[in-house]
Parts: sequence; C-alpha cells; structure tokens
Amino acid sequence: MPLPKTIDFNEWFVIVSFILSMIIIFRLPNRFPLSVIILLSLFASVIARLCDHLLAGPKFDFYDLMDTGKYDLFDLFTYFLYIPFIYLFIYFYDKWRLQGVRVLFYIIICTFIGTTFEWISSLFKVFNYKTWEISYSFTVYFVIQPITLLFFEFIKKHHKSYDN
Amino acid sequence: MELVLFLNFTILLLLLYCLINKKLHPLESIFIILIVEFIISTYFAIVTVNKEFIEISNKSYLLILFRVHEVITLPIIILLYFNGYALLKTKIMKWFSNVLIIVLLILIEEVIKYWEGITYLQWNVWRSGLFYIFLVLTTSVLLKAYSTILRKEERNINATS
Repeated sequence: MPLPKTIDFNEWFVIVSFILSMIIIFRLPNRFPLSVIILLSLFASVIARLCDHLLAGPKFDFYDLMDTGKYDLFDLFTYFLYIPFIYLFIYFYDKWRLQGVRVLFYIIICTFIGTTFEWISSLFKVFNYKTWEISYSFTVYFVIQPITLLFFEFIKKHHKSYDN
Repeated sequence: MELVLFLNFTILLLLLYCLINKKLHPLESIFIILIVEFIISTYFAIVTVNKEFIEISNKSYLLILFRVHEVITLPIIILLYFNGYALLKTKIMKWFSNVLIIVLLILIEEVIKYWEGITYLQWNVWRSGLFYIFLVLTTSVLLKAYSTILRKEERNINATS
C-alpha cells in the first residue's frame, strides 16, 4: 500500500477530523455493548469501502480519494473517519428514541450534515471529483442512512442486552 | 451466458444459506460478512489497481460478474463454510473442510479466468490460494475473538437478570 509523498492538507484534515470526532465520542456516556460498537464500526467502514471500491475503482472511476487514484494508506484511514459519524448517528437515534415521522426528519438532517462534511472534505482534496457531483452524494447518504438504522434495529433484535 | 450462469450460482448459494440450519449467532454471521467484504475489497484493490497483477475485463457483463463475485459470492461462500464448520465434530472432517473451501474458492476464480473475466499478468493460482488461506484464517481468528466478546456479554446479562 503506497504511502503519501507528503503529508499535506488532505492528510491533516483526515487526522484532525478523526481525533476531534473521537474526543467527542469518548466524552459521551457509553451506551452500547462492545460487540455492538464493533459491528457498527465495521459496518461504517465496509459501506464506505464498498462504495469507493465500486464507484472510484477502474472502469467507473467517478472520483479519486486523496492524492492518487491508487488505494493508498490514507485511503484506509479515511474509512476510520466514518466510524465516529455512524456512531453519533446511531447514538442520538437510540438516545432520543425516535419514532415515526421524526425518524424521517432525523435522516434528512443527518444527510445534510453528511453531505456538507463531504463537501468540506472535497475542499481539502480528500475527494477529487471527476464526473461525480456532490448532489449524488446526498442521494447516496439518503439511501445509506436508513439502511444503517435498519442494521441497528437488526442488531437490537438479536442482542440480549436489548431484550425487554 | 457466463453472467447468467454465475448469477444463478450466486442465487443458489443465497437460497442455500436461507434454508440451512444455522449454527452461528446472527451477529456472528453479520461480523463474518463485514470482515470478509473489507478484506476482499482491499485485496482486489491492491492486486488490480495498485500493483496491476490481475486485470479485470473491459466487457461490462464480465465486469458485473467479477463485482458480483467480490461483493456477494465470496462472502456468502465463506459464511456457508463457517456455518458448516460449526456443525463438524471430528478433526478429520474439519481439516477436510478447510482444504475443500480453499479448493472451491480457487476453482471459482479459475472459472472466471477461463471466461476471461480476469487475466493474470504477474500472478498465478498459488498466490490466490495463499490469499484464500489468509482470508479463512484471519476471519476464523477474528470470529473467535468476536464470539468470546459476545458470549461474555450474554453471560453478564444473564447473571444480572
């Protein structure tokens, strides 16, 4: 896996964003068992990895991640950046016990937040769009966030700590 | 024709998974799928994009076939393997199943190569075999660790309730 030639803006952006978001998470009271946190973290990384693999890979190549079109070490770090975001997304969904139309509002607001963060990332050249547009990302987040909630509901159904 | 055959094979595997008696906890199955997806997509990105050891076909139907293989077929085979492995009692059967899964994964890759879905540039079948051994071993070790965490949590919940 190639290393970046120089640690410039995009690498610093990933490092600083990850550290800041982890600080926020560690300051929150622990809400989920470790096995659930592991699954949520894996889910976040795998969904991001698969989207990039299929959309930014050869033949389609809608965009590049970081400095090169290749899969470098900082591409891998980028996937860890999704973990705190999905954790916070699920954390507040669970804490506020959202139901009905409130879930829809929550998804729309979080989709806007996600898209805005991606737009900021693209300004720092974390994403280098070729034929991709930020509006497409909005749709992708709009699909993935309900799937994430369904995934969490699936976990709740099968984990003993959620038995009532 | 190749794509249709491969899709039918994948659907067959999915149906098989739905119908078999599952030995693993549903969260363990999800864990396997996620781990395998991450390792496989990373591996194929390295060998096809970074190092260009393997070339994926330009024909769209073969590209779709290869992506289905990466994202659905391989993880479901590994999941079926771990479910079957939990049912096996004797060491010989377990050892035999380990060999069988590696041979099966290599065979599927050979079929895709025969259909020209992929072309080996500076690669050979033994390297793929080594990767599949690594994939099964890594997944097995990580699954063991995850199962321990899950069982411990369940024991704690049972003890407190």
